[in-house]
Amino acid sequence: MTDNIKAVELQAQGFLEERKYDEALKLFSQAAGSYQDLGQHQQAAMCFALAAGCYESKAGSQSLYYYASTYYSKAAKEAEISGDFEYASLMYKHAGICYERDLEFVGFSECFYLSKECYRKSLLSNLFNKKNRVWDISILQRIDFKDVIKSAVLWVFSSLSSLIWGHGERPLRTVGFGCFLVLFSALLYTQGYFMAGGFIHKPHLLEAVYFSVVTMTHIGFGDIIPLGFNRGVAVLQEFAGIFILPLFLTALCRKYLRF
Amino acid sequence: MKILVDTIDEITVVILEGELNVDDSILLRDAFLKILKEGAKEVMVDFEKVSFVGSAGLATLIEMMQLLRKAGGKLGCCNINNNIRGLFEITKIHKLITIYDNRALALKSF
Repeated sequence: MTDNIKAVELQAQGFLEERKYDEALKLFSQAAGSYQDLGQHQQAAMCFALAAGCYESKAGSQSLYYYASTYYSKAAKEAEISGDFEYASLMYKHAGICYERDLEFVGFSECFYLSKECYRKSLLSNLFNKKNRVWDISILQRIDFKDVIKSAVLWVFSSLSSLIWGHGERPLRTVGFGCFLVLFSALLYTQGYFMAGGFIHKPHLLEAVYFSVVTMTHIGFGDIIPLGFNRGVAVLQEFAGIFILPLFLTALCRKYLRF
Repeated sequence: MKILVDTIDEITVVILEGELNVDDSILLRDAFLKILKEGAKEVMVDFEKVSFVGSAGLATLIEMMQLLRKAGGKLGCCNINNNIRGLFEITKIHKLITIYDNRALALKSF
């Protein structure tokens, strides 16, 4: 079986050298399929990437970037299955570039998001080495801990970016996160005290939600004054609100102004 | 495929000869792991006498680049002919692994 694939790859590379892209991409796709059947996903990823490259080289003025991006996406999926998230991220990025060239912005948006997600996963695999196939204690002893710390910090920021606004491609996620923050803060407010109309009282949930929305959106009517613990929560919520609203607007504009 | 390993100025040079296909990539992987266990950090792969690189070979190079990086080292390739360079560029591997025109330049830049 592997001899057959090798022959197919050899032939495909021959066609590629002769710039016979149609023939080359058919053979690379065939080889990729064979590698998929054998469960060798890294090799399948490479063959799909080569097929995508054939489409991209062939594209020129023709509208073939869409097909190239489809193959780059397939390569990325195979790389993901094999656990090579760094290469998957690179492939999704190029799939996104090809979609953009073809003015296919929905595909671009999705690939950009997936590229960032794969990058985030690659940072995690740097930390925990999920692949673990060739790991050895003598190599483990030489880990550069500066790189580990750098990966950990980048992973935290990347995860926050994913959670709060889906790397700029999921504005609804910002709305969801904002709502969660409003409700969570409201629950915290019910544990402390407010002063309204000269009276100090423990707020009920509805009043807490009202105050939470007013604080988050920076309206600040001044009809309710948080006290003690609630004052700290209000400051933190207002600080979070400074970032949440611009993030939502940026993600919304970024996503919908493309159309 | 023949795999020769040499050390020049603390840089491990892996000289390949022949075709880098499915079976040979397993040999290359084993050679890489041996080099890593011996403590190599900077590894240069010389492709001067390589006539063909299959997808398995490309996958092995990426895997080894990642492993070396995790161990605080780096991987470079040199003396790559135009056809193989084309493969590196199509598969975008040139964005992950540094490619040098020749070994002298590679050893100087490492």
